[in-house]
Amino acid sequence: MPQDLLREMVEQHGNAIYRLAQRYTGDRFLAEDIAQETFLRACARLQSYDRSRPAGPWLFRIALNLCRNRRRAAREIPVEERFAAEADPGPGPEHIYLQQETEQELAAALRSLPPVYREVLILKHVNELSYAEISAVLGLNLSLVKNRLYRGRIMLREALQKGENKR
Amino acid sequence: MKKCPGPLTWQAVVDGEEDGARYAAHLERCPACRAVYDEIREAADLAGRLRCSVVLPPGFAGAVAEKARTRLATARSLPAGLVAALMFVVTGASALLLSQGYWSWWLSVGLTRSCSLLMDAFFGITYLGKNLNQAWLLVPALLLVLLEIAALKKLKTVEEC
Repeated sequence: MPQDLLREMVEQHGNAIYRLAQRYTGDRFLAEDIAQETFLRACARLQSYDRSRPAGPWLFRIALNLCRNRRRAAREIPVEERFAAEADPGPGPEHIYLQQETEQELAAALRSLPPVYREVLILKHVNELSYAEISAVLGLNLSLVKNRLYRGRIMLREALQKGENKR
Repeated sequence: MKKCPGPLTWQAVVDGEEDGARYAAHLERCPACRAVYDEIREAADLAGRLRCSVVLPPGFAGAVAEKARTRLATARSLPAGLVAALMFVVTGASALLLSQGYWSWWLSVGLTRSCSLLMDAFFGITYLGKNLNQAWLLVPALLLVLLEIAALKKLKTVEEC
């Protein structure tokens, strides 16, 4: 097994896990470590994993747990030392410039949110999961997912506005 | 639709989780709901900026597979270590349980000596942090030790008679 299944899982979910970790931690090296550890842990727990179920939610759950723990451990590292996630550059050069300018603000605004809202926002907007998938990853009921997403978006908007007012 | 849907319903429409066509007519004629919808749409668009397109560096899958292999081998060496420890305890305890006279004889037996050497090598390699995929070789050694203990017991019984 494990090697073939592991390779398949990395090919299928590797980038998604990496993006989740990068948005969560704001550090690309830490994100790579987390992505690697996610698959290693998954590999070690394959015997207890029900293969008839999709691997995605299970892997996201492992990655989120790692992000929570690593972030706790790295709390003392100053924000400036971390790398901001690379945003989707979009089409034109003007767009690229605007995105680069706002990227750090966006990362700071996201970090200012309580983790419960941050996680729902990342799963929705970075990993593009449906409500049902987010609910499966976080083990929450659907109405709580909708609520957290609603509040999270409003909090993110307010945090971004605060950042703009400071400039 | 008599009653105005709540913000969470509008959010589901924005996210494509609810059929937008079902609510289109209401949205057209209800300015309050239109305002809520637009506000949610704006917040969702803003949060949409979180999307990022980073990809893992090439060779990531290979590195993970290699690390997984190493970890698996290390995990496998643990039961082998336990077998070796068990062998050590069994041989030592059985030598003590048998009469004192056998103790020196026990140590002089070639088979036991070979097993001791094997165990020493095993512990040495484990201590040095090497992987022991061939640790299953210790199982026949354990069987030989048990056979030897049985033979010693039999010998003792014969002597006592």
